[in-house]
Amino acid sequence: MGIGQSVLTKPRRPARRRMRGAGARRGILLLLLPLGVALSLGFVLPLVLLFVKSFQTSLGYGQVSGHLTFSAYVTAVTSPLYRTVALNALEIGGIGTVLTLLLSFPLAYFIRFRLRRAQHTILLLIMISLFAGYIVKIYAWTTILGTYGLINTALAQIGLIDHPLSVLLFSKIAVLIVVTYLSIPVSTLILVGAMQNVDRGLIENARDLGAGGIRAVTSVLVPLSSTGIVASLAYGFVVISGDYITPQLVGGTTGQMIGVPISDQFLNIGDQPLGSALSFLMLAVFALVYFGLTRLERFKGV
Amino acid sequence: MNPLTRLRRRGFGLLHIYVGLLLVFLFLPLVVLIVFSFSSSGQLRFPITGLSLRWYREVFANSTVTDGIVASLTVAAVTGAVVTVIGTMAAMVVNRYPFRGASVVSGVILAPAALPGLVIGIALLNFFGDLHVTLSLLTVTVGHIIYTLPYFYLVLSARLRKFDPMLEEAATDLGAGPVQRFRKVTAPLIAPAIIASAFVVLALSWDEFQITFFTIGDQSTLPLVIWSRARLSIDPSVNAIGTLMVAGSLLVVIFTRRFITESYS
Amino acid sequence: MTGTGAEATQRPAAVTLDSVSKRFATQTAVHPLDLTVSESEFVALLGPSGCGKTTLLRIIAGLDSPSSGTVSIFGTDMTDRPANKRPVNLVFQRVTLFPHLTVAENVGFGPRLRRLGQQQAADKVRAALELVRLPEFGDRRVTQLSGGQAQRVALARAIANDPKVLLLDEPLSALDLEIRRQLQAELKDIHRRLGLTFVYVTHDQEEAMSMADRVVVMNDGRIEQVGSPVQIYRQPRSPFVARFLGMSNVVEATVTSAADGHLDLDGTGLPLRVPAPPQALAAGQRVIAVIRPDCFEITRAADDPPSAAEVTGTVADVRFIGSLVQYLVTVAGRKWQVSARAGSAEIFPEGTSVCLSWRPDEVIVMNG
Repeated sequence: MGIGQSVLTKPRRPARRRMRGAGARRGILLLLLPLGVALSLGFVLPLVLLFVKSFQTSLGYGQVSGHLTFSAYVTAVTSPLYRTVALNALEIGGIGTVLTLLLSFPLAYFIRFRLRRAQHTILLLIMISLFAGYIVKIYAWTTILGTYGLINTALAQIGLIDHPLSVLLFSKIAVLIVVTYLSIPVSTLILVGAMQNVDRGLIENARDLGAGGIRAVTSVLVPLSSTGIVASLAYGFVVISGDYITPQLVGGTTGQMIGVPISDQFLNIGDQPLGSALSFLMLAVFALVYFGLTRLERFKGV
Repeated sequence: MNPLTRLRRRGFGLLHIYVGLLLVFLFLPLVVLIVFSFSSSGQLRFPITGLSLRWYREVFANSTVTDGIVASLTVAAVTGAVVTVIGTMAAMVVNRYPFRGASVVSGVILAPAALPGLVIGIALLNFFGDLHVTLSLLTVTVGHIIYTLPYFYLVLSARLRKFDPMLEEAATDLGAGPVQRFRKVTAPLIAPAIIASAFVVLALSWDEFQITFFTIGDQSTLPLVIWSRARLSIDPSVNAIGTLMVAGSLLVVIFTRRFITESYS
Repeated sequence: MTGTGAEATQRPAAVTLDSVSKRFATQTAVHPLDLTVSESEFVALLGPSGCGKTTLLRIIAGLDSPSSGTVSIFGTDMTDRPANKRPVNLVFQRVTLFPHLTVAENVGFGPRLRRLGQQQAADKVRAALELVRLPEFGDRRVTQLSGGQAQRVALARAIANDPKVLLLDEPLSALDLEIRRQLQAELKDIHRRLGLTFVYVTHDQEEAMSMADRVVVMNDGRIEQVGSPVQIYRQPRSPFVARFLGMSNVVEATVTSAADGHLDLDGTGLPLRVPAPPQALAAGQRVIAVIRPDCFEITRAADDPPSAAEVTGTVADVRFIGSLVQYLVTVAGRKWQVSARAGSAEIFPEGTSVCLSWRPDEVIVMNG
């Protein structure tokens, strides 16, 4: 009669298994192979070699001795030469990335929640500023901050200053301004990305429950976009403190960062083990900062 | 109206002002750049005394610059091609065929983005030195490939995640075999994402400096050309080159817009 | 709704599931079951989410393979055939129109795959679009369609492929009520016109009852009951079916006596004396009694004592829903749902003392 019964009336047929397991796995490995090879040869291997080099000793002119020792690390940590620039890097890196976050967060909020059709245009503009040339942008800032640059000329015209401010260019402040400037576009894009998943209604909900303007936004948005915030901070810190060009162009004597001596060791055939040791110490600090930030995120997320 | 309400009302106006100021801040250096590229004076001071195209003429007459442009384009093109091929394969696999350890693989692919260009640059310089490989545009390209791979993968993965697997099931249900399904449904829908990601690679490579600095040989890419000129003296033609780069960037971004805005959402 | 199940079974079997089951790593979605769908029948798979109805549909379509058992379409075993080689087509729950193709290209996807030739494919597309009442939509882009239009195009796309069985996975669940009603009627119409076998999955019992020739009620991977809508409604065989169909007066009772072809039931708060059902029941057995809300007659309580199939109670809640009035009446501590036709009858407010009466032969008794 065609009426189904849930009770078993016939002996069960053996289960048919589709032989997908083995073949699929091979296919996956095959597709990942080229990338794996590229990364191993171009990334992992060079880093390993660099790491090994940090345990060797320099014999001058780029030559190194074979046997392994910690002497490069000892020099790196104890020499006062590197202490200043390392601290500068931490300082500028820390302040710079926090500043970048604070500056770009409202912009990201604005783009994500206050614009509809204009969203694309603004994001496009930001991307244009992003890809307009790293060197070119730093160079442009020398024009603005310089003795006869935009700021000094403008201030003199208004009559606020008698002679040009020399502190603007070739100083720590200059480096801070420029690196922050360079980081804002990427930070904004990261934050907008993180905010995409936050429902507009949640902020309105908070407002409805009594939170005032800013509070409504921060109490809802900050925890929910915390991954973006952490990403922005982590990425910003790495990029800013590892920047070795900006200090050379606008840092003067007081604004140098650790990247400069590191690059020096390698370019001017200096002490490569030392440069390498400094790099890995820097990476160790980055790792600490990163773990610290993820801890912070877990704390914030509660 | 009590002051708190007034403030709250104004709070939203404040945001607009802030955003406006920030955008001015972001574009100020670029505007300065463009303005100075048309300045007739050889000095970079305000105010501008006259307008002229001399710097552009100088730029195009100068073979170092034009060579630099060609070098940058070549490196970008090769980087784009290589990264697109290997990056697409990896992104497709990880995002569409979930397997154990997929997140570990993702993490490894994204690792180069966690390091500053400095470290990648010196690692490669050291590597090539140990292998006694002469530095050239080829070594530069290697650096660019490593640098841009994570970003390509990131952008493409984000797009692939939005791809609805039921579309492929619908194709199968309607009678398409695996090859037909790929040709008629999967490929046309994934292609825009791949192209958009490829453009990101091109843009990143074109602009790259911090790694290139260490892997460059005799031939310089454009950013390196700018660097050497800027170091030697106060050279206003740098502004002209910079303006050209901005224009190029504008063109690329507008072109990509056709693919970035979701044509099929 | 055409006829009972009887006529249908004279026709050939369009879909036969034999001992079909589906196990996943963590759970069993479908326990081994048998099901036959006759040619030109409109069969609904009805059940709550997670009951296995969609899994079963996908097994028929070939998108998932069964852990055991066989799937046959018009007599041919298709268990090992991939989905693209089966003469069945599926209308998905979500809109799965290809966004990079126009409406006409979507509808003509199947025919073009089969290399039917430009003209023939175009004819099929036109016919299908006319069937779903979207004749002018051929050149539209898919992103410009409303929800209802999109599902119609999906239907046209499936039909243009000339399937022998049409499968539909809750195609209307995402649409507004208005459009849903409209499309339900259109679907029935298309079914009648084409004489195509329909297997329709839904969780909406109204939808299933109004459209299907036969309803298969599923729960937790098993078939609870199969029958025509009238059969199932009048004679639900399990508490689950009764509750799922909206009969909320499902109570446990004990048989106190089973003599003279009658059962006396105790424990419900109502004096139930019902004609004995076909299954043999003895005193002391626990059973489930169901009285549909529309089987009660409700009147104002009079002074004379209630007679045989009557009881007095108090109105606990009243809800006026246009053509119906729904009451909750408390009798001996238990609340009973009562549906009365509104019309011009008196509507009793909360607290009114009322008299409920019923016909003993309308009380449904099932094994406890």
